[in-house]
Amino acid sequence: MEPTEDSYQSPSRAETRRLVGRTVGYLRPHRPRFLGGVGLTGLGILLDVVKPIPLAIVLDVVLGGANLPRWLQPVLGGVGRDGILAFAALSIVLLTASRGAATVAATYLTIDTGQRMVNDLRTALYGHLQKLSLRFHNQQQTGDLLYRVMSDTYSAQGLVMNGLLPLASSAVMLAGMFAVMAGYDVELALVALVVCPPLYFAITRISGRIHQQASVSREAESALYARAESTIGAVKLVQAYGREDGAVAEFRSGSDRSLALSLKLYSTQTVFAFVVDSVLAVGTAALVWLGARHVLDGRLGIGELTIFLSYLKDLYGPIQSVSHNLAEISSSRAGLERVFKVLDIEPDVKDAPHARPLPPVTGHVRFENVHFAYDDGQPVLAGVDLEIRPGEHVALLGPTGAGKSTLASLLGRFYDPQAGRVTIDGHDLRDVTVLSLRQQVTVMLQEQILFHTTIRENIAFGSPRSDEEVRRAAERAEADTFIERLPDGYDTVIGEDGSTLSGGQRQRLALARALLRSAPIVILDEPTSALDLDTEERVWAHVGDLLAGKTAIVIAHRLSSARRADRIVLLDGGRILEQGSHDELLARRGTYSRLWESFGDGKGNLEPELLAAVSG
Amino acid sequence: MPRLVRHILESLEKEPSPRLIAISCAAILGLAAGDSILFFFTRRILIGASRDVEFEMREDLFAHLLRLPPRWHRKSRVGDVMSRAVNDLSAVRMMIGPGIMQAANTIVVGTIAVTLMALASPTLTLVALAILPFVAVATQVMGKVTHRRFTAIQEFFSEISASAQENISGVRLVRAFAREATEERRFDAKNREFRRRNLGLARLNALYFPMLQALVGVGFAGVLWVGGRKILAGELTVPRYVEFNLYLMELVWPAIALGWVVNLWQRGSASWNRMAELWAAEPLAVESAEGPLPGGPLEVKDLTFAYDSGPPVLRNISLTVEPGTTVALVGRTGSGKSTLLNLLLRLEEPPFGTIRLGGRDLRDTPLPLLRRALVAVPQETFLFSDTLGNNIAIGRPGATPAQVERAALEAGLGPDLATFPKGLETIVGERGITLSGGQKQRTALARALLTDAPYLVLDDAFSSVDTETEERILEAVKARSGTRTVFLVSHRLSTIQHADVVVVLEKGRVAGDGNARGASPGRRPLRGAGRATAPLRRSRGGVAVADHLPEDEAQGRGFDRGILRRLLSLAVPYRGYAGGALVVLFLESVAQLAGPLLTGAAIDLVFSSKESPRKGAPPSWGGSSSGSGSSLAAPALSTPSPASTSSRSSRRSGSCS
Repeated sequence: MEPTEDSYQSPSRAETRRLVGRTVGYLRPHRPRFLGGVGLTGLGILLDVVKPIPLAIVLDVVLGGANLPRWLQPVLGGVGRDGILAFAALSIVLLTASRGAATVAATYLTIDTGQRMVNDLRTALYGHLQKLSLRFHNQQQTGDLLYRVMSDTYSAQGLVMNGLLPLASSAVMLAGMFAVMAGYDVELALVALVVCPPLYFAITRISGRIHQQASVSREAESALYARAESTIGAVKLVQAYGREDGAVAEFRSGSDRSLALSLKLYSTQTVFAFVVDSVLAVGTAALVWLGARHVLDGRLGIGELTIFLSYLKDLYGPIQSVSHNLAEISSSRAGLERVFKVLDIEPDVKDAPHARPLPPVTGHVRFENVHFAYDDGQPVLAGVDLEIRPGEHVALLGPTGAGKSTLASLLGRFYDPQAGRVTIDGHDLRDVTVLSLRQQVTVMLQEQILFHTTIRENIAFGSPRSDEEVRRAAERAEADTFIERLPDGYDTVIGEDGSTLSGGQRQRLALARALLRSAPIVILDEPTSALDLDTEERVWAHVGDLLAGKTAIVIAHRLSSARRADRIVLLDGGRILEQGSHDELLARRGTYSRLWESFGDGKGNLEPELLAAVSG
Repeated sequence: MPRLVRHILESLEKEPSPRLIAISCAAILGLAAGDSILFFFTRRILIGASRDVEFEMREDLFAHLLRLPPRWHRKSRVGDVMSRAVNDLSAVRMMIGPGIMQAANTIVVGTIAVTLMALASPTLTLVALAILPFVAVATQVMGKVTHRRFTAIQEFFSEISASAQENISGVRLVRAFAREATEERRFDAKNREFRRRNLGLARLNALYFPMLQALVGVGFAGVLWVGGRKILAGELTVPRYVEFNLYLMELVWPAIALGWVVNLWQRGSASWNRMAELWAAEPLAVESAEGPLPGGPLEVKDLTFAYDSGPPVLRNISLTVEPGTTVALVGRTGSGKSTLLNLLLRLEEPPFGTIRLGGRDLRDTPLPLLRRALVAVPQETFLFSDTLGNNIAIGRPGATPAQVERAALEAGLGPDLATFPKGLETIVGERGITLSGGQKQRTALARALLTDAPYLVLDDAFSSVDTETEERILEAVKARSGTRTVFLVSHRLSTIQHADVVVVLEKGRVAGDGNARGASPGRRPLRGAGRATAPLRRSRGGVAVADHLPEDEAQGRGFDRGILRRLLSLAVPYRGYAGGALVVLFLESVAQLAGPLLTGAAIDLVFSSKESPRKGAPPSWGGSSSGSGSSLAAPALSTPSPASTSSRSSRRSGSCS
């Protein structure tokens, strides 16, 4: 979806509160650290307040010849000027050093807290993505999700460290400062608060706009990122069609848009910072002016005015820092909203509250009047009834788009049917836990997904299988020979899309991966479409052994592979057209027999003869 | 100027008045406003320029990546590349935006303040600057460690991002094998490690900055000690001392900012080196797209080829294909069919002199022309998340909807289009997931058919299409092709039957060729050669191994001058801004330095004018009054002491955090 400014609704105050509350929720497990950080920050501020004192002592006592303040009498009572001077110099070093130590600890603790929050949030989001159904993933771009996982989660740290922490310390300072100052001079203390109403006004007026711009800008960045990710992922296609310039032009226009949005955001931010700075400057000037008059009137000591001004700096500092970073804070907030948006999506395939683990099954599969449509609403399956007995091998045959893969996906519960039900050994799939179901159903997908790692790990795919088992699975998939020929054998690292491998080689790796699992129900979606008939023949010989006694569904286009099944099910338009064994279907003289006659030679073994003919 | 201010102060204190206080307040206001305005422009100009540069670099990088040869892309991971293009780039931007701004600010303020200090008291200046060597050493060490650790952190981030990318795009497989929990655990473990590394760097910074502050504290103490003794000895007047102290405080910020700049710079250069690894890869040459499309016969002569250092995939292939022929390539999986097609398409570079198209060596044929002439439907179909129509029109951006539709119909998508809610305007998922395998393949086919290229390569393009549909499509393709030369790779007899010529590949060699229908004896469009009799050439010398990319050498190289030049060249369009920014920076620094003086003046006035303060006045010293007020108040207001510097630093840092 293209982000537009019009489509963006400025969030209500309640939403803001909810967002902050939620962020704080991620802070809760790390409360000790965070509070430690806040405490140390406070200590640092305190030390800042004390820091000018030694200098003042030097000026007043050492140089001015005034008496020592009373609290210092017992310590430095009999010490001479040189001694006091040395003492003052030493305390400056000590104060600065302890201020430094407080900063070390505070900085470290706050960064630590922030990192932990980011870590928690990122893992939570990642885990949630693992739970969301394929229906969700079908609608999403990898790049967009990746941006949320990798970049948007960082916002937790940004929001807390740039926003909440300075604001909180500012609020605490405000209260403390007011209490202390009111003790000296109530009027002056009230003047110091004069800046609050205009600040509030400025923040509420501008921050909404900043937040809106930050959201739009972040969406634009994410969209650009997704675009780049998918283009680079498809670079082969782009190059094959000579579309590099076009792709760059598209990227550039997206990038220009994003740049314009980001500059707009920063302009608004700078204007805002300017307003805040001006308000604060007026506040400072007012305090200096009034304070000076009060000193002239004799109502206030010069030192007390100094304290006022010093506190003012500590108060205004965080406000200033927040106002100068508001764009980042807003952007962090927008990022967090994007993270929470995904976290809020309820997985539509999830364990029912009453779900139990699926007990070990014999593999008795039933589809009962199953209806299914993807999000576009076009029915893919329209009332399929199919029973597969334990140990039976069924071939699904039919034109493309007939619903073969969809039917198989329902058995792995990648989706739930809209009507009807799917059962294994009498258990409705919706009543059992997804994990226990998938442990007993092996699915080899039509598309071969390989990872950027060794062949061995691609086949084992995280399961703790021995090298020997991996090798056996590869042998059965007829992949062993070509793997051995690779430079590093099973340890060869293959590219993300396995592009140095041919289609048939990739397919055999995927098959080996599926064969390594020993589940009672096996679904193979076009397992051998990229193999020549000769290799296919050999693969099937092994696979047949391996599948003996298991329930298997094989999706195929080749009649030669379909023929092997105990039963052939012909799907068309989301319904079962014909079913039966090869011979039964031939005898029925329906669609299947027509297909068989027009494309087969009656034996199903086409290519070896062809090869013999042409190479002879 | 400081002298001027001092003179004013000295004259003012003789005749203080509330009016002057008001003037001082107005001056504070004016200075603050001036500072804000200047800050506004500095920020607008420099941050804006650094954003511009960032976006421009990103666009350049993207264009560069798209032009890198498939060989390069085969070795890289999308997540890693993306992480460099986004994450590292932003560290580089921090280096050129806030980094440069801060460095300039530090230098300007530092120079002015040191000059003023030296004018006020050369001895004290030397004392204050005695900490400099320590600062330099600490900064040097910190810089080195930061560089090293940050490189490691960015690498780890890339790793996390790449594995997350693979997980998300392979989500179906993860589901099918019920590996969600494992994947989540692994991801969490990686993140913990990432956090650990990050904290390592944070610890370093957390140590460095306070250490810097402590050093500055030592400097202050030294000045206080020496200065105090000098005053006692009558060698220095208090106002001079106070004035000096004010300047010294102005130096605190630049000293700390310096560490910050070094930090930014080291992070930026670490990231820059990682990006440089991308830049160092040699892109495909940009060639002219002008000129006639290649046509005529395709000749392959004695072609031997291997991927990288692997064993040869093709050996001594020779064949000739006349225009208008449909050639079927058959053979076992792994026999080299797809490799041969990749070489024809120059997705891999064939050795010179092995493939000629229309009499011209393929390597001499400009790529843009070749790509327009030779269009392929690959085994795996990639669909962008866009409308079906736009996905088809990729090869011919200007195509009319009618043309797109005709291509879709020819590719056999007609019945499917009818069931899609918006026909060609239907959005297909990122990998066309809601399309069935066969529908995806036919979309890819329509894409190719739309181009009208004289050579069409169908690499097992019908494996997920049922035989009947395939039959219809091939009939349509042939009927319209005319003189189009078609290469087919397939395992199906039904496909191969459509070929005029069949070439059988076996273990990288032409094992045989012939006419699939055994007919048309008068026509021999294909002449096979190099059969079993061809000599075996296993030696590496005969194998085409493309030149090694310099990416390995680029790793671990220090800061590259050429790259620095490139960086600077990006900034050239903004040099006007940069000059302006420097002027603004200078003015801002002056405002910054004048602020405390005027504040001090105001307090001095108050102090010296009142005769009966409530609490009893500190005695005044010598001719001038009141150091105490100004030296205490000044840091309170606008001089950066550590707390306010931290707020300043975050304010300057812009979007760094």
